[in-house]
Parts: sequence; C-alpha cells; structure tokens
Amino acid sequence: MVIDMFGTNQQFNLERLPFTAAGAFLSIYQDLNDKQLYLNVCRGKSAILDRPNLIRIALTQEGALLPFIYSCTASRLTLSSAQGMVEFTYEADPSVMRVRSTGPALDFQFRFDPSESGCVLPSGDVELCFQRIGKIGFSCISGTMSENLSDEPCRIQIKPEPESKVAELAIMEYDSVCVRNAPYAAFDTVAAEKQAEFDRFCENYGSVPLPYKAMAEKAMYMVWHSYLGPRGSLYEPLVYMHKLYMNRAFGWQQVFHAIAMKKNTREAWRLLLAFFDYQNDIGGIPDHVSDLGQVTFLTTKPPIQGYGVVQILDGFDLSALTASDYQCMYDKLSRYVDWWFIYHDHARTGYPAFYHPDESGYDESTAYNRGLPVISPDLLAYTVFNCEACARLAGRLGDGEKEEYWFRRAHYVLDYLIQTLWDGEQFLEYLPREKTFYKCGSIVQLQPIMLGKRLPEEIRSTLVKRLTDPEEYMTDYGVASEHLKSDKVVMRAFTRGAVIAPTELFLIKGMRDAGYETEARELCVRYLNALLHQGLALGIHPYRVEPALGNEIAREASAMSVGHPFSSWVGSVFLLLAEDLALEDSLCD
Amino acid sequence: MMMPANALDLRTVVFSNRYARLMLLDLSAQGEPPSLCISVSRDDPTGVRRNLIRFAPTWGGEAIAYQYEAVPGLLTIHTEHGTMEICFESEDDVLRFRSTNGLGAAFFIEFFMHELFVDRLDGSVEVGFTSMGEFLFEVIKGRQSHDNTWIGPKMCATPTTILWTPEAGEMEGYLFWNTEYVEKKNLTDFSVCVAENQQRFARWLRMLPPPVYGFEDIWRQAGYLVWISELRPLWRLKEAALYMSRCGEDQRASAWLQSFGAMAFRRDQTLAFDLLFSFFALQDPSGTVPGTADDRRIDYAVPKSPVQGLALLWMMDRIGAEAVDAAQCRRLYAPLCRWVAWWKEYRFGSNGLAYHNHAGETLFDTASMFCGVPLQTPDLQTFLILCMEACGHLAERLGDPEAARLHLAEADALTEKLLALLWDGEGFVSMAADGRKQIETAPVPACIPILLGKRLPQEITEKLAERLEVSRTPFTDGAPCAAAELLFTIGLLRCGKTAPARKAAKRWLDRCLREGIPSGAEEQGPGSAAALGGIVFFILSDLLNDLPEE
Repeated sequence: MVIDMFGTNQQFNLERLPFTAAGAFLSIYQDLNDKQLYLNVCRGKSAILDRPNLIRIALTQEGALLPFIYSCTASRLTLSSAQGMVEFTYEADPSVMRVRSTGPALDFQFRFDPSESGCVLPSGDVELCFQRIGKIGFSCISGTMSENLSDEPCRIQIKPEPESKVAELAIMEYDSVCVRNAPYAAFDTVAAEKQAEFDRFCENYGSVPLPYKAMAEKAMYMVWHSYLGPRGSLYEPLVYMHKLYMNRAFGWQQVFHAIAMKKNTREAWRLLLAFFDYQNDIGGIPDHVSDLGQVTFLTTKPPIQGYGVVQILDGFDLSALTASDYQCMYDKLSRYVDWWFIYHDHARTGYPAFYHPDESGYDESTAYNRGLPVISPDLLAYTVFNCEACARLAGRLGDGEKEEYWFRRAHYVLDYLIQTLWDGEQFLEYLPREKTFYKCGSIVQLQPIMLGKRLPEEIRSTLVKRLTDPEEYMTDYGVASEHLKSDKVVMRAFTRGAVIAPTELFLIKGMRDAGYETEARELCVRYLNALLHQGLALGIHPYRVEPALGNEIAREASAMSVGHPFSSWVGSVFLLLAEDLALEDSLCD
Repeated sequence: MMMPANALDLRTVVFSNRYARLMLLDLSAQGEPPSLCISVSRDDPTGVRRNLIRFAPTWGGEAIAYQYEAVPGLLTIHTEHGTMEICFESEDDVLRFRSTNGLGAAFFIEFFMHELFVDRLDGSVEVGFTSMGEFLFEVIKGRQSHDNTWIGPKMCATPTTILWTPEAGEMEGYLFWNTEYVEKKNLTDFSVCVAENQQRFARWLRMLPPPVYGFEDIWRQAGYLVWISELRPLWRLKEAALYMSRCGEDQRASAWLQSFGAMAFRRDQTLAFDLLFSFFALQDPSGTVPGTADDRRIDYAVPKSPVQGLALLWMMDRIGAEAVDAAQCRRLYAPLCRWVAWWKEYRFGSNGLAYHNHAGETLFDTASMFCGVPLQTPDLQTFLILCMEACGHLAERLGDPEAARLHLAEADALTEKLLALLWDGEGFVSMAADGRKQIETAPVPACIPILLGKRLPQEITEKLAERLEVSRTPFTDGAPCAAAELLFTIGLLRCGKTAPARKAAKRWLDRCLREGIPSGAEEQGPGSAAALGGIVFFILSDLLNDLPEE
C-alpha cells in the first residue's frame, strides 16, 4: 500500500522539500510565506535557487481560485478541492511531468525577466524560454489550453473537457528542442511505473527498526529524488543536497549517500568515485558541482572518501567489486591524498592544512576563529582513513610495497595527532603561521573519536566522557557542534551549537568502533528520535534559548535556516544510523 | 561612448592580452583621477565584478596619485616619484609589475562570504573569489605583507590590503590567475617579456587585412580590441573564441561573432576556420549550435541566426574556392549540414519557411515583432539560403557534385519560397509561423535579403539598394549598428553594386576615424568595448583595399 508521506494534513509538507523525482529538474514546492504551490527548475545563478517561485500553480473554477489541500507519495502529488482533484507525476523520462485534472481548471502564472519570452509553437504546444533555467514546454494531451504570454503576469490555463471533466497535460523541461517520439501512456500507468522505480531504489537499503520506518521512507524519497544527471557538466548521476536550497552536488555528501546503500555495493562504489570525474591534473577535486558548469575549485570539501572506502570494505558485500574497481579507486584516491599533502602544505610542516573553513564542512566553526591555514584534528583523522584506505586497496591489488607505504603514512599522521595535538582533554588546532596551538569549544576537536580503536584507550575514554556529558556537549537531541557553555554558541548557525548530521554520524560510529556501544547507541537513538520529530533538517537546535547568550531561537526563522529544509544528506545519515541500529538489534536477538 | 581613435583608454577597453582572461581596467569617470582595477572576464552570479582587486602605486607604504599610459603589451604608471611598468607574461594569465625607483604597489580587496584568502607561508598569498577563480600574489624583488584576518561568524575575510614594498629601491612581483589552482610561476626577464608581448601583437597585426591608407592609427586600435577579445579554450569552451566584450553583460562568445571573426581573418585560414568551427565543437546531439557560450555555460536555449554560411561563402570567395584547404572544408561540412538539418527538422513551418521562436534568436533588436508567436523573418531565410549554398560549395570542393547539386537546389527552393511568401511587392515582410498573419517588420531584417545578391531579381535588389542608400543609419533606434552596416555593404557587393558598397565601407571607416571604433561601452560600463566594431572595421578595410576607386 502506498502511503502519503507529505501533505497539508501530514506531519511534514512541501515547504520543506519539493515534490520531484530522480533525474528531474522540474519540481513543485510550497512557499513558506505565501503558502502557494510553485513549479520551478533546479537551476540558477547560485546555490540557493534565485527563482524558486518560477510558475505559480492554482486551481480555478470559472475564473475563481479554488482552495485545496494536497498530499503526496513518492510518485504522485494530489491536490484535492471541492470541485475535484488534480494529480501530478513523472514519466520514466524525468524531464516530463504529467498532470491530470478531474474537475478543476489549472492556472499557471509567471513573469518573464528581460530577454525571456514564450511562444505558441506550430504544434500548439507552448514554449517558455528562461535565461539560465532553460525551456519549459506545455503540451495539452486532453482538454483545452489557452495562454497569454504578453501580459503581466503571463498565464497558461488548462480546462477539462466539458463532458468528461478531464484534462491532461505534459510539462517538459529541455535545453534546446523537445523531441517526443512516443505517444503518452495513461496517467495511472505512468504513476505506477514511477512508484515502482522508487520502490526499486528502496532496495538499496537495509531494514530499520519499526519506529523509524515511516521516516526511513521519507529519507529514501529525499535521497532518490535528489539524484540529477548525467546532464551538462554533471557527468554522472549525483545526489544534490536539495533541489531548492544548496542546489548543488557536494563532494563529501556523496560519501554519506554511498555508505548508506548497504544493499548495493556497486552503486555505493560508483558514488564514491563520481566526484573524481572532476579531478584536475594535480589531483584536486571540487567543492561542489552543478549541471550548468558551476564547478567550484575555490575550496574543496572534507576528504572523507577514504573513510567511505573503509566503511565499504568493512561492512559491505564485496563480491560485486573487481580488481579493476579497486585499481580505479586506488589511482584516484591516492592522487587526491597526495594533493592534500603537497598543495595544502606550502609551509612544509609535513601535514595537510585547511586553507578555508569550507574545506572542513564546518563553515563558521570556532575552530577557524584564529585564521588559516590551520592543521585541524578532523582533517588529520580523515587523512588517516585516506592513507589506510589506499593501503588496503593496494593490499587487495597485491601490491605489498604500496600497502606498507600507505600504512606508514597513516601511522605518521596518527602519531602526530596523538603525540602533538592531544592536550589531555581534547585535540587542538595548530596554526603554522603563528606556530601556536589553539583550543576551542568546537566539536571538531573531539571528532577524532571517529578513529575508534586506532586511538589509545585513555584518549577514547576521555572523548566519550566529554561527548556524553550534558554539561559539555550532550543534549536531548544529540551532540552539539559547539561546547554548550561556550560564549560563541549561536544556534542559528550551522556549526556553532546545532546538532548536525555529519558530526553525529562520525561520533556514533566512532564511539561504537571505539568499544563504547552503549554510549553510541544512546546518542544514536537521541538523534534519530530528534529527526523523527523535527524532520530531516541539516541542523537541530537543541534548545529554545541559546545557553550562553540567552537569546531565544526562532526554530524555523526562514526557509534558509539550517533547521528547516530537508536534506538528502541527512536522509542518508538517518538511513545509515537506523540500519546500523537494526543490525545491532538483530545481532542481539 | 566611442573609443577615442588615438589612445588606449582603459575606461573603454581593458588592458589585457590575447588568450588571457585577466585584465586591468579604469573605473574612473571622465575627469576623475584614474582608478585601476584588476578583474577577470568571467561570469559571476553576484553581478559584474569589475573592481575585484583595486590597485594603486605606493610610496613609503602609502597609496599615491598616478596617471597611466597604456599601449598593447605594456602599461606604464607615472607618479611624481617615478614609474612602474606592468605587462603580461607570455600569453598566460600572469600580470607582472616592476619598479626600480622605490615605488611599491598596493592591492585592495573586499570579499564576499565564503571567499578565500590564505597566506601560504611560502612567500605567496592565495586569493579566491566565488565563480571568478583564484589569484596567487608573489614578489620576486621586495617584500610582501598583508593585513588579512578571518571573521569566523561571518564566514568572510576582512577587507584586505596586500602591500608590495621595494627593497633597495627595487620591486618586482606578479599575480597569477587560474580557475582551479594557482602555483608559483617561473618568469622570464621583465624587459624580454615586454618585448615579446609587443612582437606578438605585431605578428597579430600582420594576420589582419592591411590598413587602408590614412587609417593606420585606428587600424591599430581595432587590432588591439580584437587581439584582447580572443580567449583561450577553457573547460566547456573547447576552442579559442572571440568574446563579444571583455567586461559587462556580453562577456561571452557568440556564434555570430565567430563567423564575422572568420571573415576578418580570412588571410589566415587556420585561424579563420578555427573560429568558424569553435561553435560547431559545441553542437549538441540534436544538432543545435548554441547561441552563446563561455567556459561554464553554453546556451542551447537561444540559438542564433545561422550566419555561418555567409561567412564561409565570403571566405571562399575572397580566398578562392580552390585555394581553401580541403581538410578545413571536410571539418566544417558535416556540422554545417547538421545545422541546416536542425532548422529543417525543428524550425520549418508547413509553408516551407523557417521561423524563430524567440526574439533573442535574431541578430537584431526585433523583439517588438514577437508577440508570443514564432516568426518567419526574411533575414532568417536569407541566412539559411546562404548556409545551403555554402554546403553546396563545400560538397563541390570535397568532390561530391551530386550532394552539391542537392544543396544548391535546396537553396533555390527556399529562395523561391522567400520571394513568394515574404515579398509584398515593395519590401520584405515577416509572417507568423502559422502563416496566417503578416507582421510589421523592423527595417534591418527587411533589408538583409540583399545578401542574396544575384539570387534575387534585379528589381528587388534595386529597391533594397535604394532603401539602404536613403537610410544612413539603418538600425531601428538610429544608433549605428556595426553588424547591419557590414551585412548591407556585403549585400550591395553581392548584388554587383560595387560603387555603393565601396561608398558604404568608406563611410563606415570615416566614421570610425572621426569618432573611434563604436564600442558600446557607454551603455555597458567600463571596459566593455565590443569586439564587433573592430571586426567590422577589418572586414570593411579588407573590402576597401580590394575595391578599386572609380
């Protein structure tokens, strides 16, 4: 049975994520402020969609707006009014959205910017041409279509046949020309096929405990529908963070998506490798990419690909992987690791440094308050995993010399982390410019717990004790990203106190690997329950009032706040943690 | 604003190099002290960032007043304490600075959120801008310092000054720009570098049509404008291409400009054909040739009128059909045929005429003609006929007379349709693509069929020529339009009206001499001089050199 996931009368609605499908640039969402539904295209000048309210969707009856409620499954969005229903789905070709009305007329309202226009093609289809966004075509399958493309606002209206009261429409998104070779299949057939496509995607994941099942489905939907490409400068299918907010594919996020797909090793491996398609001639990879050539090498993202490789080697069925897969990963990953050592260590310290906070993924963390470059404990932890991954890949390929070389490098970095950056309570930042160490309240300085038993027991126990202390970092919803008594806690920010997905994952898995299963489980359950109630948002604000400053936090201040839009990234973290919990439970059983 | 004929005014045209994207421009208004800034010809979603890095010479660590003198290959800064020289290193995006009299340099930078400043602690500093790429700053002689700090909560660097201080009176340093990563550069001797740049420019000028007597200075100005407009391949821009402008809204390559550029460079077949081919390299699987492109964004949604055929015919005519390199013909033939096929497949109405869907697809400002209906315009048919004709000539050159015959028959058929459906007895008109309505046609597209030359009946060419003679400035709003002037002059020539063609070409050159190459910078802002003016200047110079005076 297909159950509604989002809607007017559901726990979560389309203000937090769009109705869309894997591979589709078209999506429909509800504006947080005016509560209207809008059709848009996942393309724009910047990472936050600059024209999300591209085309307003309304239902009408004899010219008057009809109120409606809506609900959606993975494959069908249904708008219900007193005069009937309007439904949306996607064809197997995700560039085509199908619409069916059984009663109301449909009104699409929009405005053109200068140099944009629309026209009625000789076929009768209406073509709208937007700058940067591309073209949107409206093709009336049944009913009547009328348009006004010169007034402000412009309109396209679809009216049902008078007798059948049915109208059907195809909305297409394309770059230059729309080529349609096949007749339109029946709406319900198309919707059923789309549902089946989603159901097949869900087979990539393992089972989750019952209380998390409904949210797991939403998480899978979030990940599935965030896939885009190949198209333009997206060389392969990648997972966008969100099709409206941060509408880009980010490098390190593909790793989270990969390691959550426990039932599909090939897809996991492909996702791990996908960003290396952009690897430049000195081994670097970009921070994020889009189909419009918005490939950013200004910074990169945390190098956790090695961490991902280790997770897959340790926890996946490897029978689907071949020597060629290992070789390909080794070649690319080793170049990337070398890039960090060479091109992020101009000061010749021997260890890679962050040159920009964005490279840590924790953009406004207090770890970088003293400037850059900075040798940071989280980066060194990632580097240990990277070197270890290269070693293990070399081992699988039978190259003992390289295996030993890379294990040596892993130990070299680990030794520095333990011997030099550990001060007895936490790890420190090292500032090569001043040749000083820097201590702060950022979770970054405790995150090396992710190294598990690679760390000595006294370090592990100190870290776990502090992470689980409600006077320090532990909240009802998970571990905060900044020490709770820090005067720099700003809950509205991403990494200055909010509970955030990537950190929770590293800490939970790290504590488990460190032998602290009970603490790991406790943290996991707190975080999963928080997501259950607050949705798959990037950051959860664990308090109404900022502990240090006393400011009240507006939880959903805007659609841009870290606590509001769902994120595919968080979806994968949710799935991964829930799957691990289920596995743990089954082992206990 | 017209570019003054005898000066390299960096308020209008940038100081740069062939193939480079790095540039210096002057943001001051007329009468104000200069305000030089360093920027990059790259699209930025936050807007055109001309003032990416402000520059000033310094004395004792303080910015001082200056004037500048710019010639191709060298920019000299004059102050009361001496001079500083600035040049590009080879054809790279490396800008070099040198002073020998105690002058230093200061670079002022304001950052947006998430942008980058890092002192690499190896003597170099890396500066990065969202969408614009990265810079490396390093001094070779002297000292480099800066006052940068990071504001954590704002995820932003403070406004920063990078200071270059001389040692023993000498200072030499450079900026290197790249999209992905920046590393230290090994540089040639500064003086040698300047000399080589100037030699490169001189070699470039020799590739152009020679100047018409009396127009040498303006010819050099045009040469510089076009020289800096050719940018090297970068990522999605697979071939070197002419940008419409180095700065402003038009800092992109357009398909039609490559065609006109090919016409200007017909003396260098390699360069000409490379330009003509540059947009075919971006042709998508459906056959669409994009209208505009830069290194990141390729616009397939608004393909431009197919002027490639006109350019090819012009080149073959002036080079001599048999002298055209067969390999180049082979390279162009298939993509040009696909381009023609695209129009036939996707943009032909049931009446056998082609249509534009959107106003942006046309070469001229004809937006008012489009009222939500696709339009069959006389200029579009003209350009397509010429493409078909060009396919025929290419086929002939490649030794396939049967294919040549078919292409030429196609051209003939479309010419007949044009005359039957879009000639109303007095002039050419446009029609809605459904064939039901004639649309009032702007003057420019209405006269473009003169390019068909002797394909048209004489009475029609006479009427068109008369209309052109009467109208001194054919562009709809009265401003000169370089492209229109070019096309009409060529059209007159193709009709056998040599004297009027000569007169039109001379009129254009005289106007450039009087007022400078039309740049469009006044409308588009500093540094946005359009390459088109220079290109048209060269094509018409070429034509004038070949047409005897009566």
